[in-house]
Amino acid sequence: MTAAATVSSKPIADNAPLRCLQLSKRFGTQEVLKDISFTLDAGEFAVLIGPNGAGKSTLLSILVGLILPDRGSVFVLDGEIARLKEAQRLEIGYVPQDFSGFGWMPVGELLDYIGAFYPRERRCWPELEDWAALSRRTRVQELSGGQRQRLAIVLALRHRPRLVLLDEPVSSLDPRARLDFVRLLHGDCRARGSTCLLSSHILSDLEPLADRSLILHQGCLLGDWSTVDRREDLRWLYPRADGLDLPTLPAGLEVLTKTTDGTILVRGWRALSATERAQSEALWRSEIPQDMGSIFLALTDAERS
Amino acid sequence: MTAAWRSLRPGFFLRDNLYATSGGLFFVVLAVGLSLSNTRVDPWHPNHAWAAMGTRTSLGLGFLMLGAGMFTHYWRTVAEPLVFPVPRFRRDHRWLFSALLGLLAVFGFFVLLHRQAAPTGAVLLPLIFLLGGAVLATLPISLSTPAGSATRGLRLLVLSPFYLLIFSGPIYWRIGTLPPNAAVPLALLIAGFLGLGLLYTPRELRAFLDLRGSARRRVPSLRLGRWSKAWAWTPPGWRFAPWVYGPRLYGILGSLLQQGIGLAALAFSFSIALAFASHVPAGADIPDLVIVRTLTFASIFGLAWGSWTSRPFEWQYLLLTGAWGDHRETMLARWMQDFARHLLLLVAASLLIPFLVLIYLQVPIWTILATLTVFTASLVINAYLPMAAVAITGAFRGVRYGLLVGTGAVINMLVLNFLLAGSLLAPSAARTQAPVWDVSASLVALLFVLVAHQGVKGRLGRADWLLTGLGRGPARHVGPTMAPTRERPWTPLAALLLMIAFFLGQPVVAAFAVFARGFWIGLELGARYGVQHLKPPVALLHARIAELSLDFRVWTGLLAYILTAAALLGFLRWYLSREQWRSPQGIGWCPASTVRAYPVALMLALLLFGLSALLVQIFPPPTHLSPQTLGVFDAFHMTGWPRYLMIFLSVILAPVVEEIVFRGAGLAGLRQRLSPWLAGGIVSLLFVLVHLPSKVDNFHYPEALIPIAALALALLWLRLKYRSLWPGIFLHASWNGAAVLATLLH
Repeated sequence: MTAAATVSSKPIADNAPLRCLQLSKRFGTQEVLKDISFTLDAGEFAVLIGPNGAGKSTLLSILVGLILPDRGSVFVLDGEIARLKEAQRLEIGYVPQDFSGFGWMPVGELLDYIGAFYPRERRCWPELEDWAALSRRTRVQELSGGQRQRLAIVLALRHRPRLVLLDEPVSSLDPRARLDFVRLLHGDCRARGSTCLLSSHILSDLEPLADRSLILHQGCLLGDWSTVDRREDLRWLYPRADGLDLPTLPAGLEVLTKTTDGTILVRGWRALSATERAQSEALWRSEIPQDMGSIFLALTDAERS
Repeated sequence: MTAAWRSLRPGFFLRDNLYATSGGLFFVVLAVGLSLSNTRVDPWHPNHAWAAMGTRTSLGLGFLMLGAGMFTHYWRTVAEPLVFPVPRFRRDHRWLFSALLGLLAVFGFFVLLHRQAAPTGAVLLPLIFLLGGAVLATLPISLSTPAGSATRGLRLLVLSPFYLLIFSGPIYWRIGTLPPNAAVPLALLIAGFLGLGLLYTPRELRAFLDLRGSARRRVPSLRLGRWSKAWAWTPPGWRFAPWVYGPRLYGILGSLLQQGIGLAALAFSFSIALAFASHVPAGADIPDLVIVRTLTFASIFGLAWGSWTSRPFEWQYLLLTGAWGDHRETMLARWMQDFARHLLLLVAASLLIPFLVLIYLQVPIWTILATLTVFTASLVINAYLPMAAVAITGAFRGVRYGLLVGTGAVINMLVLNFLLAGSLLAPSAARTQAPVWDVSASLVALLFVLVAHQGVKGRLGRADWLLTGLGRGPARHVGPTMAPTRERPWTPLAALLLMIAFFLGQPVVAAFAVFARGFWIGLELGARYGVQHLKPPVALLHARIAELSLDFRVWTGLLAYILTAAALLGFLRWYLSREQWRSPQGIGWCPASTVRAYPVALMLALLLFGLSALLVQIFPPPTHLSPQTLGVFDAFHMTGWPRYLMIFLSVILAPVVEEIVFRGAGLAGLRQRLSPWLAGGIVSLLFVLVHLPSKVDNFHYPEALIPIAALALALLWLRLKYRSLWPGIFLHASWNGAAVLATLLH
């Protein structure tokens, strides 16, 4: 099921804030990432979806330069990730999955310490700090999981970078804080045209806001669709007649996955002509996918079986 | 660069960084050593101070620990993924720490040059120790095996070359005098390793070397399941017995080694062992020497025992499993009892072999008993040291905890060494003092154990185990619903005990002072003679102990009175409520019912002066006073501080304290059951008795008790008539003041 591995809805742009080309990474004998390529444009709010162990964290680590890929290359703001200039580093914000360091420091001192590496005018984002509501005197190791995550978010995003990479930032936040944060971040991305890539399995809050969804499974990029793609290009097709044989499909359609009851998910609906659509509708009942979550489940289920 | 400097602030650098702290301490030692520079004589190479034991230990351990501290701090700061994209962060820290390491190496170079080392050695040795520090700093990070695994501590064996280098002179000498064509490439290689450590964190290096695949091939860990099953039928107390922990010996050693104190204690014992093993004085009894050293080191096992069993996760496991519900205090008490019980077993087991060996060596039985008593005391103290540190700091780790345990262990070892040398190395005829020493050693150990036991129970019973660690206990009842503080009972028995305590407290404190003085004299003589490997002559020891100077006696007397008074006042302040202090039925610390009380008190004072003047006419006081027996009153004839202190004590302190103890708390207690005048009679009798020793023994003037009795009656009358303590204090102070004035003018 590698048919969708190279799907990409957009041509690769040279000036995109984040470009990655044919990334592969292997740990020992285990292949964690297989030939991943995608591009994020300025102002895009993208969600990286995938089950546990799909390689999301590894992918984000590679994108931020923590891990070097075995093959492939990453360009951030027109710079090769391993050789970024100071001005380019200034524009990156990265929230790791677990923030466990600096346990011995009080929160306020840590904020000042990290802040000192940024220009004076980019050291605070009052709305974000208000949202986090952290006490400056507490030591980091005394924070709860959710508070620690808030601290990591504040540390990484306070300087309002143009490229934001967040690895499961909302997993241990309460629903109110999660909603507030996602709205804050989304609003800021919109307002300043910054790019945001966010990995999560909690889709309900992100789904309405995301411009784009990347589905990663077992190291492969199974899908990369924008909301427009989902509405216009993807279709669920339910067979109208029972039977073991599948009715034939028009040539332009590509089957992405097939469930046990015969339903299929196809791509390429946009390119079909009106007659072709009518022909298909005779044999199949088509339905617009309502959310990315169901697509994600269908794709990963098929992969597992 | 400015931003990276912040990471060197002591609050950042030293916090949770035991290596850096201990490295700093070793640097202090090194600085002291440098200031005493040219007076040292080296046992192996008399002309080369750079290879002397002191330089080697302080420089080696200092560089090892400080290097480890710096690498630990550097890696823990830089390794966090979150700060990876922060501009200049990593680069600045890398430069900063490279510069610091370079400065350290240069400093070591000059120290060694200052001690006339060969230049090659001066370049090479600091670098080697810094590399050792880097290795030490990687260990906790790379210890990926589970905490309970028995093989975890074995990885510290990696460090043994560095310890050998520090504690064995010949190897150090050999490396320090390598020819340049060998030393320079070696130094470059080591500098390269250090640079690699600055470029990459250990985790990145491992990922780089792709060790992830091979990480699965671990040394198999010791399985204990079958053993625990075999003992599951026994009563719970026995499950933690030594034979169950026995198979975890590696684990015990490992956990000891992983704590900074373990390393320090090991290093210290190594150094002492080598210092003594290196040259045995002529004519010394070698088996005895060896036994003394061995027992000294064996007592460290108690420390391992204590650190092992007081590990936090065991406690948390026990208390959080929920098997005991909310009976935290019961559980704690049981666990502490278990600890004590198993410690007894450990002591019994560890006494067996030395006992047999001493019997075999035909050591006299009293010497054996003395030796083993001292050894047991030290072992038990060591085992309870971690508990005591938990009780004091309320934490299971951290700088204060480590410092407490480490200091305690070192002091314990020094004292043990001296005591053992006294009991075992002295000829049996000279051991007239021995039972006192041994009994006092066991008493100190017992007291320590009791205090630590209760302290831990109190501390952990109050602690909040669930989330926030030990610092904060469960929330107290706060707010308006708080019940008013209940008054504690103050019974006649308590009052009697208080007055007796005032009487007995002073001799007890004085006895302690005398004991401490004897102890100090023994230590001092032992140290002075021990340096020359001689036994202190017993006659000299006795003579030194026997001569009590006037200064000592006066100060002891003053101190005894002041300490007793402070202790009793503190106790009353804590025990009795404010209302009990203030009410006339209680202590009566309140204004007199009328202001007339004070002139009346003055009149009484004049009356009493007249009475005593009359008495002196009838019974003339003895003309010669023995200076030996005047005790604390000799202070009046001295100059300076003792005199002023004595005046203060007689005129101000004594009236206040004695009034509070006798006609305050004492009377209040007795009045609960007895009529005021009967209670007052008992109090007055006791008050007269308290003055018996000074009048009879010091002044040989028992007739002076008559005005004392009159004074007591007058004070009692004032107390009851005016419902307050203050007129009595006024009378007492003026009486004492007049007496002091008379003594001074006489």
